[in-house]
Amino acid sequence: MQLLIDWRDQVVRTGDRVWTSPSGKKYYISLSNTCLECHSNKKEFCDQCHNYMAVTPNCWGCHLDKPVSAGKVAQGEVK
Amino acid sequence: MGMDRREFIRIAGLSTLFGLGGAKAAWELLRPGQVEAAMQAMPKPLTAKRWAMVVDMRKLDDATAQRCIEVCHRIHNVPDFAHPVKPKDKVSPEEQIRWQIKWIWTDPFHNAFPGAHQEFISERVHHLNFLLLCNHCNNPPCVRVCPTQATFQRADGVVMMDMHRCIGCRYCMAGCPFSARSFNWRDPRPYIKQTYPDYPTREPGMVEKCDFCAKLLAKGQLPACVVESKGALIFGDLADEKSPVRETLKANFTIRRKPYLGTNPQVYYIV
Repeated sequence: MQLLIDWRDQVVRTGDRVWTSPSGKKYYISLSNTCLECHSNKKEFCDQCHNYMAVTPNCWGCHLDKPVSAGKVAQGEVK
Repeated sequence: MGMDRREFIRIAGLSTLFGLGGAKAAWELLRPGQVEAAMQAMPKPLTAKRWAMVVDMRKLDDATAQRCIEVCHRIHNVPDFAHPVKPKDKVSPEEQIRWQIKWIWTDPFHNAFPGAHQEFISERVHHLNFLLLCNHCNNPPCVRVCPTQATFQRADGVVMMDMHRCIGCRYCMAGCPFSARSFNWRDPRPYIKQTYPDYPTREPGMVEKCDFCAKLLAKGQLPACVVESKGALIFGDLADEKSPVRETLKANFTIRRKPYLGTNPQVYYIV
Protein backbone atom coordinates (compact mmCIF):
# COMPACT_ATOMS: atom_id res chain seq x y z
CA MET A 1 0.00 0.00 0.00
CA GLN A 2 2.82 2.40 0.93
CA LEU A 3 4.54 1.49 -2.32
CA LEU A 4 1.39 2.30 -4.29
CA ILE A 5 1.10 5.66 -2.55
CA ASP A 6 4.78 6.44 -3.22
CA TRP A 7 4.37 5.44 -6.86
CA ARG A 8 1.27 7.58 -7.20
CA ASP A 9 2.97 10.67 -5.78
CA GLN A 10 6.11 10.10 -7.84
CA VAL A 11 4.25 9.74 -11.13
CA VAL A 12 1.73 12.52 -10.69
CA ARG A 13 3.92 15.06 -8.94
CA THR A 14 7.31 14.59 -10.59
CA GLY A 15 6.29 12.89 -13.82
CA ASP A 16 9.02 10.29 -13.35
CA ARG A 17 7.48 6.99 -14.39
CA VAL A 18 10.39 4.65 -13.69
CA TRP A 19 10.90 3.20 -10.24
CA THR A 20 14.17 1.58 -9.19
CA SER A 21 13.76 -1.12 -6.57
CA PRO A 22 16.31 -1.55 -3.74
CA SER A 23 17.79 -4.47 -5.67
CA GLY A 24 18.36 -2.21 -8.66
CA LYS A 25 15.60 -3.51 -10.91
CA LYS A 26 13.70 -0.87 -12.85
CA TYR A 27 9.94 -0.87 -13.17
CA TYR A 28 7.52 1.20 -15.24
CA ILE A 29 5.06 2.65 -12.75
CA SER A 30 1.52 1.70 -13.66
CA LEU A 31 -1.21 0.15 -11.56
CA SER A 32 -3.14 -1.36 -14.43
CA ASN A 33 -0.15 -2.34 -16.54
CA THR A 34 2.67 -3.20 -14.11
CA CYS A 35 1.03 -4.39 -10.87
CA LEU A 36 -1.67 -6.32 -12.64
CA GLU A 37 0.81 -7.73 -15.13
CA CYS A 38 1.92 -10.28 -12.49
CA HIS A 39 -0.84 -10.06 -9.89
CA SER A 40 -3.37 -10.51 -12.63
CA ASN A 41 -6.16 -11.58 -10.32
CA LYS A 42 -7.59 -8.45 -8.74
CA LYS A 43 -10.03 -10.51 -6.67
CA GLU A 44 -7.21 -12.34 -4.90
CA PHE A 45 -4.55 -9.65 -4.94
CA CYS A 46 -6.62 -6.62 -3.90
CA ASP A 47 -10.10 -7.53 -2.83
CA GLN A 48 -9.24 -10.42 -0.51
CA CYS A 49 -7.42 -8.30 2.07
CA HIS A 50 -9.68 -5.30 1.61
CA ASN A 51 -12.73 -7.42 2.31
CA TYR A 52 -11.05 -8.98 5.35
CA MET A 53 -10.16 -5.55 6.72
CA ALA A 54 -13.55 -4.16 5.67
CA VAL A 55 -12.00 -1.26 3.80
CA THR A 56 -13.10 0.02 0.40
CA PRO A 57 -10.34 1.98 -1.31
CA ASN A 58 -11.66 3.70 -4.40
CA CYS A 59 -8.75 2.92 -6.73
CA TRP A 60 -10.93 1.03 -9.17
CA GLY A 61 -13.51 3.79 -9.36
CA CYS A 62 -11.16 5.38 -11.89
CA HIS A 63 -8.35 2.95 -12.69
CA LEU A 64 -9.32 0.27 -15.11
CA ASP A 65 -9.04 -3.39 -14.29
CA LYS A 66 -7.30 -5.33 -17.02
CA PRO A 67 -9.77 -7.06 -19.31
CA VAL A 68 -9.73 -10.71 -18.34
CA SER A 69 -8.99 -13.16 -21.10
CA ALA A 70 -10.99 -16.37 -21.38
CA GLY A 71 -8.11 -18.52 -20.14
CA LYS A 72 -7.76 -16.58 -16.92
CA VAL A 73 -11.43 -16.79 -16.07
CA ALA A 74 -11.09 -20.54 -16.09
CA GLN A 75 -8.49 -20.31 -13.33
CA GLY A 76 -11.14 -19.18 -10.91
CA GLU A 77 -11.28 -15.49 -11.70
CA VAL A 78 -14.96 -14.78 -11.40
CA LYS A 79 -16.18 -11.71 -13.18
CA MET B 1 46.90 -31.12 -5.50
CA GLY B 2 48.10 -27.58 -5.56
CA MET B 3 44.87 -26.00 -4.35
CA ASP B 4 44.98 -24.01 -1.17
CA ARG B 5 42.05 -23.01 1.02
CA ARG B 6 41.49 -19.63 -0.63
CA GLU B 7 41.48 -21.08 -4.15
CA PHE B 8 39.01 -23.79 -3.15
CA ILE B 9 36.53 -21.28 -1.70
CA ARG B 10 36.76 -19.06 -4.77
CA ILE B 11 36.01 -21.86 -7.20
CA ALA B 12 33.25 -23.27 -5.02
CA GLY B 13 31.60 -19.87 -4.72
CA LEU B 14 31.72 -19.14 -8.43
CA SER B 15 30.39 -22.53 -9.42
CA THR B 16 27.51 -22.19 -6.92
CA LEU B 17 26.69 -18.81 -8.39
CA PHE B 18 26.52 -20.09 -11.95
CA GLY B 19 25.10 -23.48 -11.03
CA LEU B 20 22.12 -22.31 -9.00
CA GLY B 21 20.69 -19.41 -10.90
CA GLY B 22 22.23 -19.67 -14.32
CA ALA B 23 24.21 -16.99 -16.03
CA LYS B 24 21.49 -14.35 -15.74
CA ALA B 25 21.26 -14.53 -11.94
CA ALA B 26 25.03 -14.39 -11.68
CA TRP B 27 25.12 -11.32 -13.86
CA GLU B 28 22.31 -9.79 -11.83
CA LEU B 29 24.27 -10.23 -8.59
CA LEU B 30 27.40 -8.76 -10.06
CA ARG B 31 25.76 -5.73 -11.72
CA PRO B 32 22.30 -5.20 -10.27
CA GLY B 33 19.70 -3.46 -12.39
CA GLN B 34 21.59 -3.67 -15.64
CA VAL B 35 19.83 -6.76 -16.90
CA GLU B 36 16.33 -5.49 -16.22
CA ALA B 37 17.16 -2.14 -17.73
CA ALA B 38 18.53 -3.72 -20.85
CA MET B 39 15.62 -6.14 -21.18
CA GLN B 40 12.92 -3.53 -21.47
CA ALA B 41 14.22 -0.50 -23.25
CA MET B 42 12.11 2.38 -22.03
CA PRO B 43 11.51 5.24 -24.47
CA LYS B 44 13.18 8.50 -23.62
CA PRO B 45 10.69 11.08 -22.32
CA LEU B 46 10.31 14.45 -24.03
CA THR B 47 11.51 17.20 -21.72
CA ALA B 48 11.47 20.97 -21.91
CA LYS B 49 11.85 24.07 -19.81
CA ARG B 50 8.49 25.50 -20.89
CA TRP B 51 6.03 23.63 -23.07
CA ALA B 52 3.82 25.74 -25.31
CA MET B 53 1.54 25.32 -28.29
CA VAL B 54 0.75 27.34 -31.40
CA VAL B 55 -2.58 26.81 -33.17
CA ASP B 56 -2.29 27.75 -36.82
CA MET B 57 -5.86 28.62 -37.82
CA ARG B 58 -4.80 29.01 -41.46
CA LYS B 59 -4.19 25.28 -41.67
CA LEU B 60 -6.81 24.03 -39.23
CA ASP B 61 -10.15 23.25 -40.87
CA ASP B 62 -13.27 22.07 -39.05
CA ALA B 63 -12.78 18.43 -39.97
CA THR B 64 -9.23 18.38 -38.59
CA ALA B 65 -10.37 20.11 -35.42
CA GLN B 66 -13.07 17.48 -34.97
CA ARG B 67 -10.51 14.72 -35.41
CA CYS B 68 -8.27 16.34 -32.77
CA ILE B 69 -11.18 16.51 -30.34
CA GLU B 70 -12.15 12.93 -31.04
CA VAL B 71 -8.69 11.47 -30.52
CA CYS B 72 -8.14 13.48 -27.33
CA HIS B 73 -11.43 12.46 -25.81
CA ARG B 74 -10.93 8.85 -26.85
CA ILE B 75 -7.50 8.38 -25.28
CA HIS B 76 -8.47 10.22 -22.10
CA ASN B 77 -11.75 8.39 -21.55
CA VAL B 78 -13.81 11.57 -21.74
CA PRO B 79 -17.53 10.70 -21.60
CA ASP B 80 -19.92 11.68 -24.38
CA PHE B 81 -23.27 12.27 -22.72
CA ALA B 82 -25.02 12.47 -26.08
CA HIS B 83 -24.19 8.82 -26.82
CA PRO B 84 -24.69 6.52 -23.81
CA VAL B 85 -23.53 2.92 -24.08
CA LYS B 86 -26.90 1.65 -22.90
CA PRO B 87 -30.09 3.39 -24.11
CA LYS B 88 -31.48 3.50 -20.54
CA ASP B 89 -28.76 6.03 -19.55
CA LYS B 90 -30.08 8.59 -22.02
CA VAL B 91 -29.96 12.19 -20.77
CA SER B 92 -31.92 15.23 -21.90
CA PRO B 93 -30.28 17.82 -24.20
CA GLU B 94 -30.13 20.37 -21.37
CA GLU B 95 -28.31 17.93 -19.11
CA GLN B 96 -25.97 16.99 -21.93
CA ILE B 97 -24.81 20.59 -21.98
CA ARG B 98 -24.82 21.02 -18.20
CA TRP B 99 -22.76 17.88 -17.58
CA GLN B 100 -20.56 18.23 -20.65
CA ILE B 101 -16.89 17.39 -20.15
CA LYS B 102 -14.41 18.93 -22.56
CA TRP B 103 -10.65 18.84 -22.71
CA ILE B 104 -10.44 20.44 -26.13
CA TRP B 105 -13.28 22.08 -27.98
CA THR B 106 -14.13 24.74 -30.59
CA ASP B 107 -15.73 28.16 -30.26
CA PRO B 108 -16.17 31.11 -32.64
CA PHE B 109 -13.92 34.17 -32.43
CA HIS B 110 -16.20 36.38 -30.33
CA ASN B 111 -16.43 33.67 -27.64
CA ALA B 112 -12.80 32.68 -27.73
CA PHE B 113 -11.36 36.19 -27.74
CA PRO B 114 -13.71 38.52 -25.89
CA GLY B 115 -12.25 42.00 -25.83
CA ALA B 116 -10.57 41.50 -29.18
CA HIS B 117 -13.93 41.33 -30.89
CA GLN B 118 -14.95 44.20 -33.15
CA GLU B 119 -18.21 45.14 -34.72
CA PHE B 120 -16.88 44.81 -38.24
CA ILE B 121 -14.56 41.87 -38.56
CA SER B 122 -13.32 39.89 -41.53
CA GLU B 123 -15.82 37.38 -42.82
CA ARG B 124 -13.35 34.52 -42.59
CA VAL B 125 -12.48 35.13 -38.94
CA HIS B 126 -16.13 35.62 -38.06
CA HIS B 127 -16.95 32.10 -39.22
CA LEU B 128 -13.77 30.48 -37.96
CA ASN B 129 -14.08 27.85 -35.23
CA PHE B 130 -11.08 28.20 -32.94
CA LEU B 131 -9.67 25.09 -31.31
CA LEU B 132 -9.53 25.80 -27.58
CA LEU B 133 -7.89 23.92 -24.74
CA CYS B 134 -6.27 24.56 -21.38
CA ASN B 135 -3.78 27.38 -21.88
CA HIS B 136 -1.31 26.05 -19.31
CA CYS B 137 -0.84 29.60 -18.06
CA ASN B 138 2.44 30.77 -16.61
CA ASN B 139 0.50 32.36 -13.77
CA PRO B 140 -2.36 29.88 -13.40
CA PRO B 141 -5.27 31.09 -11.25
CA CYS B 142 -6.56 27.51 -10.87
CA VAL B 143 -3.37 26.55 -9.05
CA ARG B 144 -3.58 29.54 -6.76
CA VAL B 145 -7.14 28.86 -5.65
CA CYS B 146 -6.93 25.07 -5.24
CA PRO B 147 -7.28 24.37 -1.50
CA THR B 148 -5.74 20.88 -1.65
CA GLN B 149 -3.00 21.61 -4.19
CA ALA B 150 -4.56 19.01 -6.43
CA THR B 151 -3.84 21.35 -9.32
CA PHE B 152 -0.21 22.32 -9.55
CA GLN B 153 2.31 23.53 -12.08
CA ARG B 154 5.14 21.24 -13.09
CA ALA B 155 8.64 22.53 -13.63
CA ASP B 156 8.14 22.25 -17.40
CA GLY B 157 5.09 24.52 -17.28
CA VAL B 158 2.35 21.91 -17.63
CA VAL B 159 -0.54 22.68 -15.29
CA MET B 160 -1.36 19.23 -13.96
CA MET B 161 -4.24 17.72 -12.04
CA ASP B 162 -3.71 15.24 -9.25
CA MET B 163 -7.11 13.59 -9.44
CA HIS B 164 -6.35 11.66 -6.25
CA ARG B 165 -6.37 14.87 -4.27
CA CYS B 166 -9.24 16.69 -5.95
CA ILE B 167 -12.14 17.17 -3.53
CA GLY B 168 -14.45 18.64 -6.16
CA CYS B 169 -14.82 22.11 -4.61
CA ARG B 170 -14.74 23.70 -8.10
CA TYR B 171 -12.79 26.76 -7.00
CA CYS B 172 -10.52 26.16 -9.99
CA MET B 173 -13.49 26.25 -12.35
CA ALA B 174 -14.45 29.62 -10.93
CA GLY B 175 -10.84 30.75 -11.15
CA CYS B 176 -10.15 29.65 -14.72
CA PRO B 177 -11.11 32.45 -17.13
CA PHE B 178 -11.00 30.11 -20.12
CA SER B 179 -13.62 27.52 -19.05
CA ALA B 180 -10.99 24.87 -19.59
CA ARG B 181 -12.14 22.80 -16.62
CA SER B 182 -15.06 20.42 -16.35
CA PHE B 183 -16.72 18.86 -13.34
CA ASN B 184 -17.89 15.26 -13.20
CA TRP B 185 -21.49 15.55 -12.12
CA ARG B 186 -22.06 11.84 -12.54
CA ASP B 187 -20.28 8.58 -13.24
CA PRO B 188 -18.72 8.89 -16.70
CA ARG B 189 -18.34 5.18 -17.35
CA PRO B 190 -21.80 4.53 -18.85
CA TYR B 191 -20.98 7.22 -21.43
CA ILE B 192 -17.62 5.93 -22.62
CA LYS B 193 -18.15 3.71 -25.64
CA GLN B 194 -14.75 2.04 -25.46
CA THR B 195 -12.58 2.64 -22.41
CA TYR B 196 -8.96 3.32 -23.30
CA PRO B 197 -6.87 1.02 -21.08
CA ASP B 198 -3.87 3.35 -20.77
CA TYR B 199 -5.73 6.13 -18.94
CA PRO B 200 -8.07 5.99 -15.94
CA THR B 201 -11.64 7.21 -16.04
CA ARG B 202 -12.93 9.58 -13.38
CA GLU B 203 -15.33 9.39 -10.47
CA PRO B 204 -18.21 11.76 -9.80
CA GLY B 205 -17.08 14.85 -7.89
CA MET B 206 -13.80 15.46 -9.67
CA VAL B 207 -12.60 18.26 -11.90
CA GLU B 208 -10.62 17.42 -15.01
CA LYS B 209 -8.87 19.20 -17.85
CA CYS B 210 -6.24 18.94 -20.57
CA ASP B 211 -2.78 17.98 -19.28
CA PHE B 212 -0.81 18.47 -22.54
CA CYS B 213 -0.77 14.64 -22.74
CA ALA B 214 1.77 14.42 -19.92
CA LYS B 215 1.56 10.64 -20.14
CA LEU B 216 2.52 10.63 -23.81
CA LEU B 217 5.34 13.16 -23.22
CA ALA B 218 6.75 10.76 -20.62
CA LYS B 219 6.78 8.08 -23.31
CA GLY B 220 8.56 10.37 -25.76
CA GLN B 221 5.52 11.12 -27.89
CA LEU B 222 3.89 14.42 -28.84
CA PRO B 223 0.38 15.22 -27.59
CA ALA B 224 -2.33 13.34 -29.45
CA CYS B 225 -4.00 16.43 -30.91
CA VAL B 226 -0.67 17.69 -32.27
CA VAL B 227 -0.07 14.39 -34.06
CA GLU B 228 -3.65 14.28 -35.36
CA SER B 229 -3.63 17.90 -36.62
CA LYS B 230 -0.91 17.14 -39.20
CA GLY B 231 0.98 20.40 -38.75
CA ALA B 232 -1.82 22.79 -37.76
CA LEU B 233 -0.86 22.51 -34.09
CA ILE B 234 2.77 23.16 -33.24
CA PHE B 235 4.15 22.00 -29.92
CA GLY B 236 7.54 22.66 -28.41
CA ASP B 237 9.82 24.23 -25.87
CA LEU B 238 9.50 28.01 -25.49
CA ALA B 239 12.88 28.21 -23.80
CA ASP B 240 14.62 26.60 -26.76
CA GLU B 241 15.27 29.15 -29.50
CA LYS B 242 15.38 26.49 -32.21
CA SER B 243 12.17 24.72 -31.23
CA PRO B 244 9.32 24.67 -33.77
CA VAL B 245 7.20 26.81 -31.46
CA ARG B 246 9.78 29.57 -31.25
CA GLU B 247 10.40 29.43 -35.00
CA THR B 248 6.67 29.80 -35.66
CA LEU B 249 6.28 32.62 -33.15
CA LYS B 250 9.19 34.43 -34.74
CA ALA B 251 7.74 34.18 -38.23
CA ASN B 252 4.07 34.93 -37.51
CA PHE B 253 1.93 37.40 -35.61
CA THR B 254 0.02 35.54 -32.91
CA ILE B 255 -2.72 36.35 -30.43
CA ARG B 256 -3.58 34.76 -27.10
CA ARG B 257 -6.84 34.40 -25.22
CA LYS B 258 -7.54 37.17 -22.69
CA PRO B 259 -3.92 38.21 -22.16
CA TYR B 260 -5.13 41.32 -20.28
CA LEU B 261 -6.05 39.13 -17.28
CA GLY B 262 -2.39 38.53 -16.56
CA THR B 263 -2.51 34.74 -16.46
CA ASN B 264 0.06 34.60 -19.27
CA PRO B 265 -1.53 31.82 -21.37
CA GLN B 266 0.86 29.65 -23.34
CA VAL B 267 -1.34 28.63 -26.26
CA TYR B 268 -0.83 31.00 -29.18
CA TYR B 269 -3.12 31.47 -32.17
CA ILE B 270 -2.22 32.44 -35.72
CA VAL B 271 -5.38 33.88 -37.24
